[in-house]
Amino acid sequence: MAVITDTEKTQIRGLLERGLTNPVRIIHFTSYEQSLTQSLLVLPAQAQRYYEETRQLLAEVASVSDKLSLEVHDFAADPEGVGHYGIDKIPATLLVKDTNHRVRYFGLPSGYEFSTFVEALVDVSRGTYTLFSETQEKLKLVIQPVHIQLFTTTH
Amino acid sequence: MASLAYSMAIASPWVTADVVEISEFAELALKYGVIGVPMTIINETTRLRGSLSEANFIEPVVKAGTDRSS
Repeated sequence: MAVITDTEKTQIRGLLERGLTNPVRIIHFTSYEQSLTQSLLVLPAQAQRYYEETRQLLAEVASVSDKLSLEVHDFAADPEGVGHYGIDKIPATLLVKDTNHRVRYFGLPSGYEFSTFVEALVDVSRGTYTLFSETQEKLKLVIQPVHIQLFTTTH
Repeated sequence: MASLAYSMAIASPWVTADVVEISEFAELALKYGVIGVPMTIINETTRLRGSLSEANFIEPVVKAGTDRSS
């Protein structure tokens, strides 16, 4: 069963067709039952469904535009990728343009956060952002890594 | 809030923005003492509860990004 309704798909197709200018790679880290079984971890059925639903949602989003590509990595089987992207929990989704992989979402981007996620795809693609000029000036003062973790809920 | 954090990560090469659906990461809720959302953690040290205006959000980001002792 599709995670995104046909109506939603039509809406985001319009938004993404108008908005996307450069390709965006959606890099996703997940877990599969098989690999976890091999490492003797037992994945509860609820978590499996959550991972599956997240993968399906991303596949459906990626399918609406040829400027989007989806790369799915198995967290347990890809320590190199996990290390390269600094992934410490899953499901993890990175919106990547060129070398910028600093826009990240952890969890299933549904509910209230779905529109934020789609808008972020457009902003990453275009390299655009919505900040007051004062904020932009202050941000130029930043000269060392800043890690923002924003905890939210989709319902 | 999420859009604001993402905007900062697009605008500055020094900023990484994670939006975390907290109900799926219960151990993080315990670790950071999250009792309500939104809640923002900056560089593991600064904890900001509730919704923030852009002006109030940028201040701790700049502090973390310029503090030479961190």
